[in-house]
Amino acid sequence: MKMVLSSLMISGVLLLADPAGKPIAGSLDAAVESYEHLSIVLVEVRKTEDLLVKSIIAHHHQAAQEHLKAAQGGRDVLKHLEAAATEVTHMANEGDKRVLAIRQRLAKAGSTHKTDKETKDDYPWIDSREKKDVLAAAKSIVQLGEKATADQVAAAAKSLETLYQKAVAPE
Amino acid sequence: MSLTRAFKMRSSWSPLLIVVLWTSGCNPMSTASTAKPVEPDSRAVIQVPQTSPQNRNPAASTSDGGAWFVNVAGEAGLATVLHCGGTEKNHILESVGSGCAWIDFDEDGLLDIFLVNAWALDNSQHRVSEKGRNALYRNVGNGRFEDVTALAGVGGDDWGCGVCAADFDNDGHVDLYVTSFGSNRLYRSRGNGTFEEIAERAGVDTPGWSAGATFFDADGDGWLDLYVVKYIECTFDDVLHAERTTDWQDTVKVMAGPFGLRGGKDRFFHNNRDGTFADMTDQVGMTDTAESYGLGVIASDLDNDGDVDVYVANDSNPNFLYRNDGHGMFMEIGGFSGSSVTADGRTQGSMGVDAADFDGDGLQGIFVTNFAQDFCTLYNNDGQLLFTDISAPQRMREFTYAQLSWGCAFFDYDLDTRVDLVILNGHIYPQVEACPSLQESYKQLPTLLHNVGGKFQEVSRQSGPGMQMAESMRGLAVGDFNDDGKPDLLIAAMDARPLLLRNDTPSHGHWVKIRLLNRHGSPAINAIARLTSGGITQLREVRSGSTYCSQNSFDLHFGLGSDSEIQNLEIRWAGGKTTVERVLTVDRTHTFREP
Repeated sequence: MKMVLSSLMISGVLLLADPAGKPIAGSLDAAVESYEHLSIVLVEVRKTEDLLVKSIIAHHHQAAQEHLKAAQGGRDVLKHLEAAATEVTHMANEGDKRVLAIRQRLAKAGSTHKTDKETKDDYPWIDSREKKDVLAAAKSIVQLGEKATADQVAAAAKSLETLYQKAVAPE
Repeated sequence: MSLTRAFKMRSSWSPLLIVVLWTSGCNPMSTASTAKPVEPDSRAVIQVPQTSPQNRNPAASTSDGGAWFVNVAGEAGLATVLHCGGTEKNHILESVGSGCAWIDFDEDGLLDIFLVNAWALDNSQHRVSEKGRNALYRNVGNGRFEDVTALAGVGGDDWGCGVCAADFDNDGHVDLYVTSFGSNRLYRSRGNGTFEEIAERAGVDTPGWSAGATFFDADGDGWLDLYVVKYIECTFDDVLHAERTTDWQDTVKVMAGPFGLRGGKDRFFHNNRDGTFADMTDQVGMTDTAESYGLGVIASDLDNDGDVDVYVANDSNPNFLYRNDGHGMFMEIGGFSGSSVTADGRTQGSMGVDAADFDGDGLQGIFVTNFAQDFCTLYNNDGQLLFTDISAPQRMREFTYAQLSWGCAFFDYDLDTRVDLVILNGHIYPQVEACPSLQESYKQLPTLLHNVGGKFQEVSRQSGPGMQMAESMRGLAVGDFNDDGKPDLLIAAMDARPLLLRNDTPSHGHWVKIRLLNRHGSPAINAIARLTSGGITQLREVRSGSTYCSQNSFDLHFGLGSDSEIQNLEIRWAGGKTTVERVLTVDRTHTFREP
């Protein structure tokens, strides 16, 4: 509800704002009040983005787990393992290629998140160490191969769950 | 958070999203017909103590990396200056340079040279100062070339970027595809040493900013398809009026990008078998939703399953590996294949790419060149399209970290049976020259790595004067232009004449070159030769386009060391047929035609 109200407030703020930065009609108090509303929205937008990215990671994780479960059924094992690995790769990248393109546009607009200590890369949830582990998990899932046993796949699924929980845990 | 909870949030995003959305409110002029002497090359040569090849111990030359390269571009008659923007390099288009090619366009058995050219800009006046033209040099023998650009009809004055070659229409003659900032060009060989430009008619002009390209037969129908890599979406007005806004190492203002700019979408063109192509990018599973900044590409059968896969080197984005299902449908598996990022999961600024069986295991590893302050990456092929980044054990950080690298190629310069590695370097920011504290240079020396038993060792500074020439180098093509059995290097440098590094390595090893022709008499693209001599089996593949925006010679070169007997030559043709040749004489070129 707070976000909905904020959205409405920002509408008003944006209507008042002059693109050229000139003083707008009305008092300074009104402008400051609008700025306060804008700050609320900006903070909420950032929280929303973080949760959105987290939900994307969750989506890929769940899809990967579903494929691993299917692989344990013994049919089309390699096909399911590769599909799972693909989803795990998307987990590592915090989204598929479409998301990579979106992130590039955000970067162009100056929207950044956390900065990785080692690589200096921008990331909302999965840092470089976690990414390395998740990518390694993707490769190891494929390496199980067509003859993977149900137990082997189950172990991979459990390992993936651990990685996922670690990745999306608050820092 | 559960998936259900996560997606329940959608109801509260909507009003916010609404608000956010609401607020987002050119004629060939080259006329030279005979080889003309060119002024001696006055380029800077870094003074490194060199032992002349004659003074070396010849017995050690094939085993101790005793390379010797000499730049003979001047005496060869290569006079074309390759432009790429202005001196300030305000826009990233001015930084990427261009490619080059070894082709035998007149089919006389000698390798000719094709150079891609771009434009010179006056940065201060925001205007074009000169439109460079592509150049075609005919090999007239004795180490000399003559400019036949106008006669051949390939002197396009576009802002050229890259080149790949192949016989796309199965008429037995090699055609040229030139990528550009603007419309690409397809020069169809008439078979008489002249070409006609038919890109628009063929449906492959694909406007935008194209970089690497490669012809390959995706679906095994006997007709070559085409993959074109796209770099960035921008306009020429953006280029002319660009300002340097990026802080490099917190020291100097340099051009912006690529990060933050909109990436181009790579294209795949299916050959309609009638001289035209159809854009089937989405239909074959090659949709570039990432809009990655693609530069280099290689089409290769990386898993030895008889179909051709595609690897794309992306700048500042994960690289792509498209696995072919054998019917021309592709799945991008770079992520889980282990070949899209470094061992620690880091994306690199990739430029060029090559692949070869550098360790003799019968599988082709991948080598990718990258940006400065980062290492070039060597991926070991583990089989089944799975790869491991082995840059660390191969000491690539030590050899390549400081340089900004572009063209790269595996080749056996000393005929010792193992493919070595050459890497071209050159910065994109000329401003680094003004800041000694950065310890970087715009013009950089090439890197030569000698393969000793599958491990690389740097020998760059002991490899003759040609390897001590600093330029901002880009395109690279390998070919034995003087037919002495030692592969030479053609180099496209920024705003300079090309370099032609003749390989004078004093090797007494034997060699053989294998020319593989398809049923139409043209290069058998993606045919693979496995040659066994002295108990060692080597693998080579005929390719269209590789390294950085360039075309190597189609002839497959094998160093044989001291062995003068070839035990076996197995050729797997693109259609899947395999032929075996048992008795071959060494130190010459053999031609085989697909049965």
